Amino acid sequence: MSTELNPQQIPIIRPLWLSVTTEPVTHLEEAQNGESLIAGLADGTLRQLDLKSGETIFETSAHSMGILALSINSESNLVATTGEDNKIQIWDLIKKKSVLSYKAKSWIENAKWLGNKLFFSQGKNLFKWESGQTEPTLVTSWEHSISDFVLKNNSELAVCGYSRLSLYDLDTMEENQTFNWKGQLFKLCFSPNERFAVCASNDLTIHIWDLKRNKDLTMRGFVAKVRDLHFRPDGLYMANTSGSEVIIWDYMEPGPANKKPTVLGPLEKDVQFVRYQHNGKTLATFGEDGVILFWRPDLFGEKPLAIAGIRDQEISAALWTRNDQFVATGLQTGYIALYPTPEIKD
Amino acid sequence: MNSNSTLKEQKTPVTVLTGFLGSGKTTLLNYILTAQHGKRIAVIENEYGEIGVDHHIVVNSDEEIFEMNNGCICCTVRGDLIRILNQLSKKKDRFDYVLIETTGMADPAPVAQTFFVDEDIKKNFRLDGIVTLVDAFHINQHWDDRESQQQIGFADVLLLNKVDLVSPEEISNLKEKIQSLNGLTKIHETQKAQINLDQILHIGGFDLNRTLETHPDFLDGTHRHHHQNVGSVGLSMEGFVHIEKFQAWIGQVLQVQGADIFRSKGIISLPNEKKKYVFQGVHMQLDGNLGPEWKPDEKVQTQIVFIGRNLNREVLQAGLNACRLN
Repeated sequence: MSTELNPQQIPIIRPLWLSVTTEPVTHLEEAQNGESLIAGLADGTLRQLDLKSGETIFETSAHSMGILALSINSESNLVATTGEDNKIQIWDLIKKKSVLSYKAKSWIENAKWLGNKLFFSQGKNLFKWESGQTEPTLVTSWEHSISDFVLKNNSELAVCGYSRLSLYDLDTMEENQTFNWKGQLFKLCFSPNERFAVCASNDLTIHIWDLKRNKDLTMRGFVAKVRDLHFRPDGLYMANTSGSEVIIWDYMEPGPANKKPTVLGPLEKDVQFVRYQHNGKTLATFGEDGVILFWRPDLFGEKPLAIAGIRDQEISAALWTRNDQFVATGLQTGYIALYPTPEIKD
Repeated sequence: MNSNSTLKEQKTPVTVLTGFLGSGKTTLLNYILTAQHGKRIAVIENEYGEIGVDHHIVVNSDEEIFEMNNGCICCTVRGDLIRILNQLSKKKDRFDYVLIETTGMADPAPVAQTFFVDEDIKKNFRLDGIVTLVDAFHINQHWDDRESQQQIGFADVLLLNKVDLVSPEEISNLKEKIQSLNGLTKIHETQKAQINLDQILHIGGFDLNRTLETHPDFLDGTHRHHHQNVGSVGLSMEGFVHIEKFQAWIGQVLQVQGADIFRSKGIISLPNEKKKYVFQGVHMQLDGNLGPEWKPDEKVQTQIVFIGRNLNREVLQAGLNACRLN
């Protein structure tokens, strides 16, 4: 840890442990039992680390080339990975072995467990795999490639891509609703009350559909492409990145239209990720310069309450653990680090 | 520990391979991937082929073209490239060059524009050049096709392949015809697409300084050939430019003629600036920055090259002349 990390004398949070790999860490998730972290590396390695010590519990060469997507089933011990070798693999973390391997024609760039169903997109096609199936099922095929998909209301699947956001019935996969926007929608999330569907677009906008009032809204004026967005779990605020700024929008009734957002920054370098704590109190921002900043705008305004990270080590994956006690990061330089959440009296 | 992967500012160079079906793209690709050149290459190819390579990344992709929502009528980009290059950028240490193979009928513009328009792509990658393969034996059958003229018009380097199948006179005629379309392209004669890789990689095709090194007389007017409506025009003007006037003029040229202009490259002499301002463009998209300093013995002048359809050299030169700072 460098002292230069902190020119403004903000309290420094030091890592509890550092784990070293030989390859960039491209993915990092918390295992279902909350006792370990699962990392995907740029050479195709899947590594399970003990959350308390950082020691490696299990490691396997999941793919012959880099990992493209990694998703953990929240209801079981299954982990899905896709790789540059065009394969999708499902791993059982208890049995420490692959339980399904399927080779596609090209890269599978996105895979997510939605309940016990695994959905994955390969270019313009979206597939589904359920326990007992030996082969995945094609769910839908679009004219343009699919960028992102999330579960809505546990009953609908929301899918976005170029010019389109569509909602499908999760059981029948019939299309319930489609919204259009002439631009590439590449990152999708819903407000926790599922009233707002929010998409980041390649054209430096965020596009919002108010599903309750059947209105749409475009947020413009970002200085750079919005790479990440995240709702506070109570749904009252949403944070997004835009270059070296973090913008916080007020989603309290009637919504964010015509309200002035809070802007954090500009920071020294572009921000890669924004993540609210699960209890909603603290926002963490993760910069491409390796700096992690912790924010409590309600108490500290636009000044960070604590700083962590390793200067000049690009952060490529980040999370809060579900118990809110730790922040974990994966770095382009091969480190995995665990930091305690900064303590603060409300 | 991967010590050389701390915050890399350097952009990964990208070469685009174009050429009609059968012109030798796949042969060249296989040659590049199997040759001992020490580079680790990521290849984005348009066909589902199995190329046996250990130290390269090969990605299959369907060309997916869409319009950018930026008010520009001709700004189409390759969505599949945005997705794949963004994935690759997470693993920058695992390759040091990217090759993109296009389909035979492809217009190179959406590929090139992707590098001008998408912010993340601009940040991590640099379009080094467009290499076009031309089948010397069959090109005359396709010469008048719009796709042929676009691919030749966009080329920084052109490989006149299969020259063993045609006579020296035919080669000479073909070269002249190609130069009439694109006076800045560098032509290499090849058989079975065999070429020294230094001739097609790291060529700096979007850098007018480097281009003029290989065509020192281009701007003197001797290359003002035109074939049908496609041609290349070089402009030059001594002295400094009036910045506001220049911006207004180039904006107007691209607004009116951008759809017809395949490529533009330029070096601008700005007042009170030691460095050259260099720009490059595809159709209406333009990107530029301060480049190297003017050398003490160098003539300070603005130089611009346009390649495209229906270009009127006299009108363009007069427009540039009107931007001179008095």
